[in-house]
Formats: sequence, structure tokens, C-alpha cells
Amino acid sequence: MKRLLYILVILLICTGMRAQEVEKTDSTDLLRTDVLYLHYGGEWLADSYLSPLLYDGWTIGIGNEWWTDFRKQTHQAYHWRHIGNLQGFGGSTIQSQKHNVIGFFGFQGGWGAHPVWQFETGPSAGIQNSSIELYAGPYLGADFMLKSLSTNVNKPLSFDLGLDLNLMVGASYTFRCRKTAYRLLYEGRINVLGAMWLPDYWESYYEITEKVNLDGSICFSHPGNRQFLRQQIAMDFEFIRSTWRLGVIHEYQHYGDQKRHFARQSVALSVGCIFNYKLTKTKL
Amino acid sequence: MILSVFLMSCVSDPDIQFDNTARGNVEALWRIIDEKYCFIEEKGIDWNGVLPIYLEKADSVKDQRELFKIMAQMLDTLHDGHVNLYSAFDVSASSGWYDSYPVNFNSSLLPLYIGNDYMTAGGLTYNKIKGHEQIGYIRYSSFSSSFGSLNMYYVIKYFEDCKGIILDVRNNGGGSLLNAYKLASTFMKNTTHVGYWQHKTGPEHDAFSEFEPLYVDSMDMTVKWLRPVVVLCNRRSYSATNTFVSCMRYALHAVIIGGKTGGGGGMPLSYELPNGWMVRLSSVRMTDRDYVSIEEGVDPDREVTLVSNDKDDIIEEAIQIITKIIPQE
Repeated sequence: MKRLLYILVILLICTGMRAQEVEKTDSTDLLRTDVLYLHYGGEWLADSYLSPLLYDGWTIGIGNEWWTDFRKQTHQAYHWRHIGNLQGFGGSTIQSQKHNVIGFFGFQGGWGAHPVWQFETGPSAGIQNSSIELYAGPYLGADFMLKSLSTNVNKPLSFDLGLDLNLMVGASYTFRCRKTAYRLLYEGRINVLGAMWLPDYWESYYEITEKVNLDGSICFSHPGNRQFLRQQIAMDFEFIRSTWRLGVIHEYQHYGDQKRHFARQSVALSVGCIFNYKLTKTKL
Repeated sequence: MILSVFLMSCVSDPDIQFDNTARGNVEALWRIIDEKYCFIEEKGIDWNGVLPIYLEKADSVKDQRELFKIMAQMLDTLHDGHVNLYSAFDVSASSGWYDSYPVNFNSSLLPLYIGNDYMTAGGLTYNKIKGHEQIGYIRYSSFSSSFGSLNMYYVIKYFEDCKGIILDVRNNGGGSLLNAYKLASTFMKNTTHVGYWQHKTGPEHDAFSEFEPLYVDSMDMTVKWLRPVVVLCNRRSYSATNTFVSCMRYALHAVIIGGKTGGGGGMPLSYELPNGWMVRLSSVRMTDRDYVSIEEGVDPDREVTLVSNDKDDIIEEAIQIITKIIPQE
């Protein structure tokens, strides 16, 4: 309840900001768009180093996603864009017998670039100025999450650490209805290859951290031994002088082998505020 | 998003899929030990033969306490003080590793040697021996109690006129390995190779990593004592204390007297059962420099037994050793 209250307070503060455009304007300035968002939802976690049991609970986080075109737009049907994201998150999960708790926190970040294809669509009943954007391209992402089993007598820690080259795909539909602009978007990315942390079967973190024994703990990752999927479906819209995003973020990650098994999944409601900036060159 | 619904089912019980029933928990416990305990082969335990016995007992369990008792009995077959079962109402422990050995320690005799005006620095209790003021005495009763360089500086400075030190770790049940290596570093001039360790690399009984060398880093403790030191130990010197005594065998002017240490050469890690109870088990095994396992204990250089009621025979022997002429640095 407290968490929802904090989110509402932050949202109320954001209502004082000036609305940013959802749809493209006639301006040919280079624009950067930032989405500052909060997310809150459910988390499912499995970590065979900490416990053989499945844990589930909640997660909360804050992040900033941004994108900008490489060049000033002149309403070209095809152009290049780069996109970035940085978020922090944390939460708590409990096992079914309600005895033990795994707490966690982590960070994710990344950067990608992709070509964008834009198509204008004709007006239909109640809908004006609509267009569709499609994009796909590489995205380099990093992920870190530290986990701790609170009641474990030896207090072991476990962490996920991965660096992946992902394939990102997305689509958005922008339209105006009754003088209000909206954008409906879907974005997803999956890992293609990378590197990940995978400690040896029953190697203690004392050995890893105090004795700095990293033999074989950093592995090449590919879809065969690591699966990463992140999806987002969201609606951007203008409301009370600001532009908002309301969406759902789903993330799934699984890695390991027959001896070791690490997996987590989260589904979270995301609420964000959108800001547009004009990027202009300054003569010194 | 359709894919996400499919994937929901993929975050499932990762490892041990047993029911949360009496039988399921016994089986899960058996399997955890079977796959992760590092001394099954070394101790020659017929672990496969244990399962049917305790599954049969589990079928007639009436409540949680009875189940706990059965599972504790199963773990007791390992005779390992590092193996414990933790529940909200009890903790199991094995005593078989020290029961049949002489106690070799009587704390009520210590005031005869250090009086009541002893000092405490961190986890170290110290004073000069009454009547033998050229001999210092340090009692370290638990490696869970920490000490720092400044603590050791003042202890060593207090003993600067002494010919030797008696370091008493009898009945020290262990604690932090970091403290064990730090204390050993006090008595070593250079970084010293003291043994090896291995962790499990798979569920098979013989799946271990390569031997990784263990060193006592001389820089762990910048304050040094390079004069004679006599280490006192007994069967209840366990776990980190066992490791400390093993390290001290390689210190230049150290003599170890008393009784064989309790062992506990496996570093314990914990794991969870379907009902939420935790089991702690030895999963990293350690050896000395000659690849001899220290799980069953370390023999002293000189075996001395405490038989008197009015004096500590082991401290008396240590005093005799130090009062003999020994080259000093």
C-alpha cells in the first residue's frame, strides 16, 4: 500500500510539467525523448545455488529509457535511431512454506541502434494523423542482480551477471483521437550471444571473493545456455498537461546447465512520464 | 505477451522436486547430502543403504518434531559436527566426533595461571603466567570473535619481554576462517603455503575441482611474534580452529601440544528442504600441504592429557617447553 502511495505522489508531482508531444511535429530539430518510469509487479525466482525451491514475491524499480534519431528528421520513411535504457530494481520473494525470504536488487542498462520504417496511414472514423513505425536492430544489454537468502545460516549470496547482444524489435502506432495524441507500442528483445557469470556447481562465494578463484566462472552465452526475453507493451498519451506512459513490462531470464539452474520472471505495471528535448548545436 | 504466458511455467522448482511430505523431505535431505556432501567417499559411508531405513521411519511419522528427530538421526550417521538440521524449533548436532576423547580442558584452572587481572583485546584474553612472567598466555575461545592489528599490537607489546607465548585454543569450536588465517599470520614471517582445498563440481561423490593451494598471507597481520609459541588444542578444537592448528604446523617456532583436534576440515554451506528447514553440510574439503585431509583432525606434536584436578598439565608442559633454551629471532 505504501509503495502505491509513493508512486501516486511522484505522479502528482509530474502533473505540474508541461505536456510533451506524443506525435511528431513539423519541427526538423533533432529530438531526444526520455521516459522516466516506475514499475511494480510480481517476481518469480529460482536459484539452485541458494535453494532448490521456487520463490515468488514482488519487485519495484525505477528507470529511464531514451531514444533519439541519428539525424534531423524530414519525415523520411526510413531513418536510424538509437535507444538506451538504465534501470534499478529490487524486491523480495518468499518460498511457499513462508519460512525463508530471498531479497534482491539489481541494475540493467543498455544501448542499441536500429533502422526505423515509418508509414503514414489514412484517417478512419475518429482517428486522424495516424502512422506506424517498425524497427529492428541490435541492442547491447547488461544485467546484474544480487540475491541473498536471509535465513541461511552461512548467509550465502548469489548474483546474476550477464552481458548480451540482443535482437530488438518494435512497433508503434501513433494516432490522434478527439484532439488527443496517443501512441501504442510493443517492444521486445531476446539475447543472441554474450557472456555470463556461472559459478561452479558448489563453489562457495567465500572462495570466489576472498580467494578470488574465478576459474571457469565466466562463460560464453548463447540461446542454448541462456535465454533472455524482455517485452513491453505500452500506451503513451497526453493527460493533464503532461505526457504519460502506462504499460506492462515482462521479463524472463533462464541460464545454467544440468547441474545449475537460475531463472527469474517478472511482470510489472509501468507508469512513466515522457519528456522531449530539442538537441541543438551551440556555437562556442 | 502470448509468449510470456507460456514462459510462466518455465520458472519451476529448479533442482530437487520432492513433495512437502514427511517422505518427500526425507528423500530431499538424502539427495542433498548425496549430491553435495564432500566426505561420503572419504568416510566410507554407505549412503545408499541409509535411504530405505529412514523412508520407512518417515511413513510412520506423526508430527513435525518426530520428523525432525528422524532426519537428525539420518544426518548423525555422517558423524560430522558441520552437519546440522535447522528448524524453527530445534537444531540438530552430532556429538560423536568428540564423545570418546579426553576433555583436556578445565576453565576453572585458568585463574591459577593468569589470575583475575587478565586483559581482553578483541577476542583475545591475555596475561603473563603467574610465577613465570617471561611466558605470555593468550586464550582465544572462539574464531567468531574478531580482533584487529591494533589489538594484536598491544598484546605483543605487553609480551615484549617474554621468551615465548602459550596460545590456548582448546574448546574453541571454530568460527571465521578469516580470523584463523589472520591469527596464523601473526606467527609467520613470510606468506606460507599451508594446504589445499577442493569444492564439489557435480553431484557425483567423486566430482571435485582441482586442488587449489591455500596460503597464509603474511600481510594479513603486520604485527609479528617470531619467538617460540606453544599452541594448546584438544578434541573440541573444531572447524576454523582445526584449520588454524593445521596452519601452525608450518610456523617456524610453533609447537602443538594437547590432544588431537576435532576435525571439521570441510567448509559448510547450507541448503533448503521442501518444508523450509535448512540443512548445513560440509561441501568444501581441505587438506594439509601433503594432501592429507584434515577432516578427521590434526595430531599434536606432543600428546599431553589433562589428568590433574589442581593444575593444568597441558599448560605446565607448555611452560616446560618454553623455559628450555630455544634460539630467538
